Amino acid sequence: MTFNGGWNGEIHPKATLSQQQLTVIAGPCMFETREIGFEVAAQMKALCDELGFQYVFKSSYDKANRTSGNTARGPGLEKGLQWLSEVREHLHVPVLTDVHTPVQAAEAGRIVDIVQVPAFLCDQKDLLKACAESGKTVQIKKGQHATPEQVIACADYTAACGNPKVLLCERGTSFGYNNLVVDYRNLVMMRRSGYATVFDGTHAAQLPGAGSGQSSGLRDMVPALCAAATAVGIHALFLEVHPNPEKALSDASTQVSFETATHILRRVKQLRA
Amino acid sequence: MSYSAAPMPPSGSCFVDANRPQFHKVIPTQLRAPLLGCLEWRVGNAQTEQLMQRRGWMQSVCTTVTTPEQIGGLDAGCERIFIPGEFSRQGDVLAAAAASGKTIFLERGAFLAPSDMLRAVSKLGPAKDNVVLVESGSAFGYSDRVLDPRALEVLASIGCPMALNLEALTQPSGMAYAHRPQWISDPAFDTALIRTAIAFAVRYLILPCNRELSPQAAELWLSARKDY
Repeated sequence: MTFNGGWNGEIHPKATLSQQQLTVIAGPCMFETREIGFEVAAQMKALCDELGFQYVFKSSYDKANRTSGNTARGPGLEKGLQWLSEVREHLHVPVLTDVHTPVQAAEAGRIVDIVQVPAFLCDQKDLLKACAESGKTVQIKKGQHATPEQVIACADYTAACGNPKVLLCERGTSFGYNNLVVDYRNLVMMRRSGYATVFDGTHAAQLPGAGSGQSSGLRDMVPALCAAATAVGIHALFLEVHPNPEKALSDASTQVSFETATHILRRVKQLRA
Repeated sequence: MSYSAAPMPPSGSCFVDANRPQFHKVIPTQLRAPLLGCLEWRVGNAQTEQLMQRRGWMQSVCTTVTTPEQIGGLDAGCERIFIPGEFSRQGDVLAAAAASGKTIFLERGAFLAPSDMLRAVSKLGPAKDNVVLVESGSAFGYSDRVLDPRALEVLASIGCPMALNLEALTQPSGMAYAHRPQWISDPAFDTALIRTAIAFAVRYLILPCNRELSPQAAELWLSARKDY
């Protein structure tokens, strides 16, 4: 299949987005340690191989917009990109990370297969342009405050910058304070726009800022949210996975364990059959 | 924070084309106090400077910043910086803003609970004493914002002076795409919004330069001569 701009969906020599084969983008929210990253990547790759899904490793080198200023942010750009590079090389999987400034987009773009524009920053044209100019696939998360039309316009802008390799990601919409709801109509609109469509099942379960200085969440809702997105139709599913979610240094309320990830992906496979 | 009416020589690299719609003005409450020019960060443009001087607006410059590099590139002539709501939690931007020594207009993201702004302000460290919190409404579905008086109450409790972004409230982003009725952008709501702002001792209004308040709204604002 081809997406907007004639893009064939290739994100890596061994991974091409398509309707036929779901792509799973999964990894720890923060790249806490090299060991945790490799553990999650190896386990999720094996699980995706077993289920017939393509796998992309994700992790963040810098959680630059934490709710509070006194919480961990990650290994930083240099070390984080080094670890991402090692995962990519040793496990032969594509890798994704998020960037917050045009400078970071250029730096990360030299290493990763997919650069991600965070939801808060989805409208930032300088950042979109820098991501486009990296030449890599660009995943744009829909801002919790943004309309689907707005984020599609951001994708159009990225494509107009010369890079049509764009993924649009739904992760929930503000529903009053400290709450998100997923408007599944957005997935339909994103898909109709001709861009590859991704659903972020773990961030969609967040209760932003609801945890007295940190984000809280409804982890038990993640499987249902993912099932619904699968039913509507997506090209990729995004999950944050941690060996011990309760002890995770970020998004501890929404990251899922290997066991839960396995349950989710088996259910998704059934729904796609 | 007290507003200084002393003239400041305009200078610096933080000016833009005045014809751009992003060109804003910030109106303090004090009667006859000069306006602050609030500009989008782009390349320097002396015409803007001249235009602002001609119109008597230029007292001090407040420019929009979105990256640490932009903040680092500002010169002394730009005394105030505006951090849009989308960036109100970006740690690096806030750290650079704090280090700049400039007055920080920090806008609450429309997606953030008001209480989250206390933590955003805390990220500024000692610079939190030089912050104006900007209220621009809360996301209320797609392409709509509401001014929640509870948000003003919570922001006021943080202890910083406040500004109201009238533009964001009356012309929320996404309007061009969504199925919202046009009344959102009706300036007739200015008066109600300004009354609310006055009730919570809001000190500044932000609106684009190409938009004028109605005489009633302007009079209401300028006659609110409370000694905050």
